[in-house]
Amino acid sequence: MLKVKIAQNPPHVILALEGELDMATGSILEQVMEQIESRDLVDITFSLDGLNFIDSTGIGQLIGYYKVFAKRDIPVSIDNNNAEIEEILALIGVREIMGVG
Amino acid sequence: MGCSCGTSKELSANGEQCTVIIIDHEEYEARYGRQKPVVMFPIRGQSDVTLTRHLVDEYLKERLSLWKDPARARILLALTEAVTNVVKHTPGGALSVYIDAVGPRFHVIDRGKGLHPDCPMCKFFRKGFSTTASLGAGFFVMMQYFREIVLCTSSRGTKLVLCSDLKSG
Ligand SMILES: Nc1ncnc2c1ncn2[C@@H]1O[C@H](COP(=O)(O)OP(=O)(O)OP(=O)(O)O)[C@@H](O)[C@H]1O
Ligand SMILES: [Mg+2]
Repeated sequence: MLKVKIAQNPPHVILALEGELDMATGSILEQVMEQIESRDLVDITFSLDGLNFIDSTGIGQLIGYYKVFAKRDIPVSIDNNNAEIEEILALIGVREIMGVG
Repeated sequence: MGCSCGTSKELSANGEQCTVIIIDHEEYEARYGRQKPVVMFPIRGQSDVTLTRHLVDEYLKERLSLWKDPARARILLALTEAVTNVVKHTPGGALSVYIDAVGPRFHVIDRGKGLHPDCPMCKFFRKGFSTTASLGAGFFVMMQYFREIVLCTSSRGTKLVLCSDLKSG
């Protein structure tokens, strides 16, 4: 299961992800992303500390948001202090693409 | 026409310790045809990506004393990549689990059209190669965390054998 908490509202949005982000749960995050009021949006941070699983599909989804919002000059970043999650982020090279959160 | 790639070709694995072996369906039968899986799960749709991971974890937790993190988490991640590929790239398939002396072995078998025959096989294992808009990281992740990958693919579908090693991590 995935839980997405809006830890902070616009302009500086922080979304705290809890549980598992994979192909089956990605739609839960997508629903929250669709709800975010984009009018006053300055930046978005995904906090991954509460995740216990992410795979290449989940990471691909986050990178997808990064690319979409980059077109509007809205930075999207990842904040993570969870060693298990960091291992896969590093393996895939997410920080080289999205920058350090 | 059999497997487009011949038999027993080993690909260099970016300096990692994973061996990739490519075989055809006949050799797959010869190697594994008489073995019975300890447990089997269907792969029908998106929800099976999470479900199969949880079921495999539950099953192995009760039976293998070496099924512990970090190896456990890495193997479940790499296995998820293989199951996701079945959902993403094929109409469906199944996951079977076998238990070898060194750790669990997973057979991920699908009814798809096989890996694209126009691409050299080694390309699929490179980070960043994808025939869709995805990252192309699935096979790369599998190679990091499995000791050996046996691949059998043709227009009749793909069979992926993922061998883990819990003893050396
Ligand atoms: N079971 C399969 N049947 C047919 N083609 C497959 C199968 N698995 C993978 N492929 C092909 O191999 C390519 C590479 O797979 P890989 O898992 O590495 O990346 P991806 O699935 O495209 O992206 P990602 O896994 O990062 O989301 C895929 O783009 C697809 O063309
Ligand atoms: Mg994949």
